[in-house]
Amino acid sequence: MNNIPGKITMSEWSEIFNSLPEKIIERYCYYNNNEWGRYLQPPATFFVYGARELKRLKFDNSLAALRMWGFVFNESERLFRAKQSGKKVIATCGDLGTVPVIIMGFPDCIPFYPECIWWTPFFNESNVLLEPAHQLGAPEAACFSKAALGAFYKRAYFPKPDLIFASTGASCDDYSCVLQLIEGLGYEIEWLEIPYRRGFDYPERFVKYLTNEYERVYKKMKNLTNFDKPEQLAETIKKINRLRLRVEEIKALVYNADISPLPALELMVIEFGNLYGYADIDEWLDIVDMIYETVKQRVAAHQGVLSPDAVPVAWITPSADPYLLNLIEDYGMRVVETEYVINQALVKIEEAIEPFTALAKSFMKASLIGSTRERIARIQKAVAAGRIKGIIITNMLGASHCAMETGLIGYYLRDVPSITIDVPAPSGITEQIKNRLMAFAETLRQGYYE
Amino acid sequence: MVLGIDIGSCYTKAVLFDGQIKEKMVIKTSLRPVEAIEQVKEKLTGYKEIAATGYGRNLIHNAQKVITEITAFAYGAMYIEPGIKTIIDIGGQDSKVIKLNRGVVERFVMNDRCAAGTGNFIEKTARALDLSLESFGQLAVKSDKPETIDSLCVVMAETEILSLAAENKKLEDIVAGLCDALVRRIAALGAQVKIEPPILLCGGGALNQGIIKSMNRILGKVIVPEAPQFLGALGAALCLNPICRN
Amino acid sequence: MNDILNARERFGLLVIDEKPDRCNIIPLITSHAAMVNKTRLRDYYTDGEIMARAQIAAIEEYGHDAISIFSEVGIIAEAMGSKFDYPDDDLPILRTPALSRQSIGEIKIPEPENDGRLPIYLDAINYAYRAVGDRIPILAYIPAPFTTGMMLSEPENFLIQTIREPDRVKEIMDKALDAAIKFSYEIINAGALPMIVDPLASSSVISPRIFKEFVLPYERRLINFLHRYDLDIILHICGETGPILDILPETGADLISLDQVDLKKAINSLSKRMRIIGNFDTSELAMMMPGEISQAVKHMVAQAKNSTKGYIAATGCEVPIRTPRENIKAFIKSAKEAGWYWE
Repeated sequence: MNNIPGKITMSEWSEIFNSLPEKIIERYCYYNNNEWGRYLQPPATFFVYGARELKRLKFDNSLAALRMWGFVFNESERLFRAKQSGKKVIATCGDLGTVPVIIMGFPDCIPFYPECIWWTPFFNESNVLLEPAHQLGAPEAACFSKAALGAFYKRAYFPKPDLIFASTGASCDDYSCVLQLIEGLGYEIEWLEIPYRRGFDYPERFVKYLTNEYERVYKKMKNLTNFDKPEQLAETIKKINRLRLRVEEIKALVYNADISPLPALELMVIEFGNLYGYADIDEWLDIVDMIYETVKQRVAAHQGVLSPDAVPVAWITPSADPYLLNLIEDYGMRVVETEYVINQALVKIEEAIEPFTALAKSFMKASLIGSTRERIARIQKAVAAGRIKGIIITNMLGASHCAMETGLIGYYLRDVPSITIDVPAPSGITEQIKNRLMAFAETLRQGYYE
Repeated sequence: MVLGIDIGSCYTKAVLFDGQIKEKMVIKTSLRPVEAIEQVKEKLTGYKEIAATGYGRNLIHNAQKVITEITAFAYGAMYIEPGIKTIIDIGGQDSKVIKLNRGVVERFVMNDRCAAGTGNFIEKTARALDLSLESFGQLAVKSDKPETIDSLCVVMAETEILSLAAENKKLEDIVAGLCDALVRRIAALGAQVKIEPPILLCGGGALNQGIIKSMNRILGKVIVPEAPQFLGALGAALCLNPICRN
Repeated sequence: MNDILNARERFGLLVIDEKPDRCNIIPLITSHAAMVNKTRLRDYYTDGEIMARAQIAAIEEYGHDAISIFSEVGIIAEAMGSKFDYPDDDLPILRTPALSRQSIGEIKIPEPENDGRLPIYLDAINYAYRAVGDRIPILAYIPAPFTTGMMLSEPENFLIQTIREPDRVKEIMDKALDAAIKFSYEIINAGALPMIVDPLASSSVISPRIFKEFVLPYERRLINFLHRYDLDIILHICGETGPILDILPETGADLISLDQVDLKKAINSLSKRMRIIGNFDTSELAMMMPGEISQAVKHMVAQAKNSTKGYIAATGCEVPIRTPRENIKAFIKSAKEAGWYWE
């Protein structure tokens, strides 16, 4: 393996992979299964299976990152294998980060987020999941989370869930509608009502209300599994906290290093891992630890993957198209703060109080259940501290929280240059978008060195 | 002497510069940027370095410097009128509003997704009215009571034109109404960066008297340079100038 | 029943032990595609884009489940120095084997991007992958070392040498293996799934003993290389395979494409360890009437569709170039009907 950190292409990864010793490839398996659980594969493997965008993406060249990508790209197979080997597969929709904590407390129960499949059309540069969604009633202009509708219809991306929990209320409106269409396909859905936060200080009764909702999730799970050990939840919270803390440490290292030790794309994948550990939380924890070690070593050695003079920016709303995260680095920027609508999954859950209440309290920090101002409070802090020279906002066309919110975000953060990119359909990133990003980078650079 | 070249989607503009503009030329790009570049290089000679901007900028392989139009416009504007705070560019396929702070780009917005607010809007509607671009501008200036046209979209605007014509409205008022519609679109775009005077208008749209009149009325007085469509090429040339480099 | 999945999704489920909407249907439609697209055969195998376009046209015409990038088994041997003639309306024909002019030592491992017609394969894959790669798997047929070895030598000589000069044969095959690995590597990076073809390793040509000594180890090494990438590897052997059925799992192949063998027997001995592909008789496909084909295909699919590790309805060998289109349509239609799994 090359010890000099950098970003490499798919074919460069293949070359390195060719010289990897067998014992390293054998080492990494999900669900501890050596027969079908191996996942250390280079991007080219997933390219052969249709992930077409991998040819134009660049990846971190560490073994830890390779391991991470292999693991993440294997999720679809992993969910099927879970079901084949007798585990229960539970779809947790729309809440992004909290219901899975309850699910993980039940033995052999695997939570996953069907909406996370919104990246698939982009990785595959394909409308294969979007077309059936449109035919089934999702409007063309709706948020890309509609890929989940296509996936539920096709039954080829994850197994039929044993239970489906879905959030509605102060959750993503589009996805809530998508879920109703999914229900229309004949899937039974257990709905959770999410309250609106109404300010940084929310009334205590909201916590009580949410606690009840979570207890209802627990009961459903108890009925499904005949397992009843509420004290297990406290243990799961500890495990989840370990993950969340580790990710926070990685982010702090990456954001504060002189030279960025990890690309924005890999870091985004890590942040989203907080939601549910990509369907094998124990293995994911191990991967995140390995990434942490890699990042720590790089920082100590003053080595990184980007140029030392990359201009620091914040990223708001995750880009459905991973390629954008690559591009901004090509143009000389680096991401040092993010708001990916998953605030709730990044914070520590209180361990000293009753676990369901602790979960409810942690969820009250959710990005989507309050005002825009609350959502971007963290970014504003970073702006005030002078850590950020520019802001990139990805606007998901049709996503209801984007349509109005993107303008508001720009307004609240008007003291810093910002750019809004409307994320086009798969493989739709045009020269115009590149031109705008490049111009933005030039602008920041001029301001930066003024 | 340096060659600044701006390969736009509709026209390729170039200037020879050595402290002042020595020579300039403009030719149609017509989706054949490489040919346009060749023609420029044949006609304009005697330069030592090339700087490129515009959508086709990466097609010039021996350019010493390649920058986006945003930065190029900023350089160009500072040369023309150092105090400029806002640049409005109306190009063939896109339009931009650039906010400057002491000559440095502070923020910018671009409309590059559809024809609304671009030269294309004028070209298409002029065609629908069977007018040349020149007579379009001249007619618009004559109007003192522009019609209200609400649609910013070319396709929708065409339907509106039809119904106005059916109501026997004056052609000059319709045309002026179209100019207003375009400027209102730019104003909405520019609100994101807060348009402040002095405003410099550039790009092919700045050749249209009707647009200038609407701008003056809606946004306040705009400054129109002598050769507004060359601002990008000039800015590119200037970025090779040692003073600008620092 | 109308398809719910596309070919890529269908194949994806098969290789992770899940039942798709219906069984995969991959008759080996190779050069026959040139006929569908009314392309001269010589153009088909000398121009990658033409090959890809013909393959896509064939998919549009028939709706089967994979693109097949292949012309003939000499492709690697040619890049190593064997000379082939290119008739206008037929496949390349071996004229001078490399080893009749050169020593083994002089034979170079080819560069897939430059040598012989290997670049044509890569062009074809690139084109097809860009066009339909998100919905249709692309199979690139790689001649296994034994077959390439034979195409580097005078075929009869090669067979005799397996007995008289086994070391020499192995030396040749080592090179053929290296060439196959290098070529497979480029194929993967272009987006296709390498499928190993070893037609000359058929029991119609060699004995099980020779298979064990000369074929098996090399197939296994090639497959081991591909398995590092966790790819699901198809091994195709034409002709008779009855006598070697029990040995086939030792190659490591995940899917086995069979030709002349009793399907029931093959399922019994292999289906717990390999996914079965096959095995409609191609001469019957070319000669029978569509109605008869439908009957026979339905029988075949019913027999095999519930094989433990899954099944792909296919022909036993390449679809003969001039097979009537109606026959292929009958094959696919009846395989779709008989191969439906979902409720």
